[in-house]
Amino acid sequence: MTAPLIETRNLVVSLRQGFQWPLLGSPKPRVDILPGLSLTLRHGEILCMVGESGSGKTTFGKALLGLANVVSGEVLFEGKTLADHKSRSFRPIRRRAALLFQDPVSSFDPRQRIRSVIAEPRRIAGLTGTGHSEIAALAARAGLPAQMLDRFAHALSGGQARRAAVARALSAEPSLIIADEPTAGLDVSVQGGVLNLFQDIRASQGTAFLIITHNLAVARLIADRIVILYLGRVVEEGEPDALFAAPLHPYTRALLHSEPVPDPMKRRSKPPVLGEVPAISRRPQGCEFHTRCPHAADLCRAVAPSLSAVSATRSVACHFPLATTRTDTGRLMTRTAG
Amino acid sequence: MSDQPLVLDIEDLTIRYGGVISAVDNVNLSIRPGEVMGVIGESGSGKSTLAHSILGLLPKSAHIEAARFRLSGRDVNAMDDSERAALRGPLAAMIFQNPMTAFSPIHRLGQQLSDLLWRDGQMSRAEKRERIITMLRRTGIADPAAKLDAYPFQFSGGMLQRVAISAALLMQPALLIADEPTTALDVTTEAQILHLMRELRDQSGVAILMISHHLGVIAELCDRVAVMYAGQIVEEGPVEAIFAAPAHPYTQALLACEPALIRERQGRLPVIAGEVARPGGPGCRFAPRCSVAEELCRQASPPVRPAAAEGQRYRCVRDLA
Repeated sequence: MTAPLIETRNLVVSLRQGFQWPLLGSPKPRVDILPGLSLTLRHGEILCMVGESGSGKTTFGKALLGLANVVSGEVLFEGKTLADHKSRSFRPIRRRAALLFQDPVSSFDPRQRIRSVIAEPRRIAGLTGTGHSEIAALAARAGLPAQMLDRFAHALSGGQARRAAVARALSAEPSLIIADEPTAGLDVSVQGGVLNLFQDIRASQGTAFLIITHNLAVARLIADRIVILYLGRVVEEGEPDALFAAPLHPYTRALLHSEPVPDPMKRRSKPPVLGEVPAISRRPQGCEFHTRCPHAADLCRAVAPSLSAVSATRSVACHFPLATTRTDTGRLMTRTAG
Repeated sequence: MSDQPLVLDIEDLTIRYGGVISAVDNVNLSIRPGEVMGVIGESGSGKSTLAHSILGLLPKSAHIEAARFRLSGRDVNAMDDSERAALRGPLAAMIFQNPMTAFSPIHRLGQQLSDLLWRDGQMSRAEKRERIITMLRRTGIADPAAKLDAYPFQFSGGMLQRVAISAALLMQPALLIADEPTTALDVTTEAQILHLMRELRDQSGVAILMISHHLGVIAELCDRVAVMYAGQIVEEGPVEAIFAAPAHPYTQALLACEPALIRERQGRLPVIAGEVARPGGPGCRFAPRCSVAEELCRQASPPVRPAAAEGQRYRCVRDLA
């Protein structure tokens, strides 16, 4: 069996909160954005990472490229552990991975033509073939018409800018594309085109995708595997059909039921989950979702559940996973409480 | 109810920039008291321009023409700027996409909210404070009295959007205009805000004009919906009819593209090919992207026809009824 493309073991990313005067005062408290994330990403896989704002999904994508403050934990690239967490140790990954930013236009140099924007990663990687025809071929693969190559970033529409960003991501022939909210801000009539493009690229080049999104409906349609994050921890992981058919974690179910259904006959009588995501600097004790969970018991308030495998492709971090203990009314058995 | 005037009554509204490009073209829109009207459209469809024109918030360069433009029976067309300004609040108020930019960052919320009540000269400070606290409580703000001394940055996006809704409703408007009010929020918060808006409508009878690009939000909240494309309303009707049996090819294509409505994972996701045509020129504006367009579609401007369901109308050369 070949090693997975990327594996993280107990990856911790943290920041110090507030401004620290040099030499003055005690160090500010550390805030863990990712308090220990273990995840594997296989070759040619489309993995969707889903979570609300502040769940650490963007941070994870950045951490893989050495763009976040990794404090501890291991990162393995094709089976080899990176020596340390210094930025330069991540170079082997950076050479083979590309990042698609949330807002493509602001990620382009406004004074470069799209042609040279696309060619730049190729030049830096030392690849040959930065001529007009090669760049036009790259653009064509991303569905960007060749006449757009002589334009500047501001002269592209939203959909065209996404395609230009995809062409740039493909430019250094990566094994992994990390896409941060690739469809946010795109109209529904064009977002399908971008997602189709991802699937085409995976099919023709075996590129793996880490897609960071808050859009569950999109994740369901394109992911091989979905990971649900809450406050920087994986709460559930599984294949889309299974995950949607029977969510095991109450948070997953809350997310699924929160998404407004485009069918006026299926209106909800009340919001499925109350309250808001707690601040990451004040993580709740025990299970971090217990403050909003309709099924929280004493055990949940005291002990944090660990992520455990339910089957070969499914794992959940919950003391009382839904499908196993849910009664017909959808309520958890209360006798397990206390 | 029938003797009450329409909250919003617009006939043949056209908004032009620079003389030629019409961002909103030939729009008719009416909202009854207590009704939730949705306007759905993609970027550049003119839905925000339409919403902003109701409050007179468009830049000077916008040229507005309408055969009829009434708010709660009062003719807005004939008013000057100061008369229009007096309508903001009592007749119509607005909430925006990003609540963080809707408030001043350097003033306390209590101050900002009581400033909105400046017109009620005879109300004492204590009365204003009482009214604000009541309104904040109704929108789900816990411990509202303490929150009056807080600054906007101390709130989360969802909480601040609740405050923005309180601010809009403080002056008891007949119409609440909501321009993508949940787009910047997380889904769990979005569900709560939509629920709150429906609750407030049921309690106070305020009519709501909901602008959104999100089909789910429209389906969840609205009674009627207008579908905009390139500045025109291409279809309008009861929300159940539009989602169950869309008549216009654009509405059909839009529903087909919605990921949440795709049941099975097939290979490729549907798209509407091409890009939004520049408004202007003859023929149907959707014709370049329409899968069933004929020669006639490119020549003549399509008429508005009634569709199967009562109150459902669509703009197309083909008779589908």
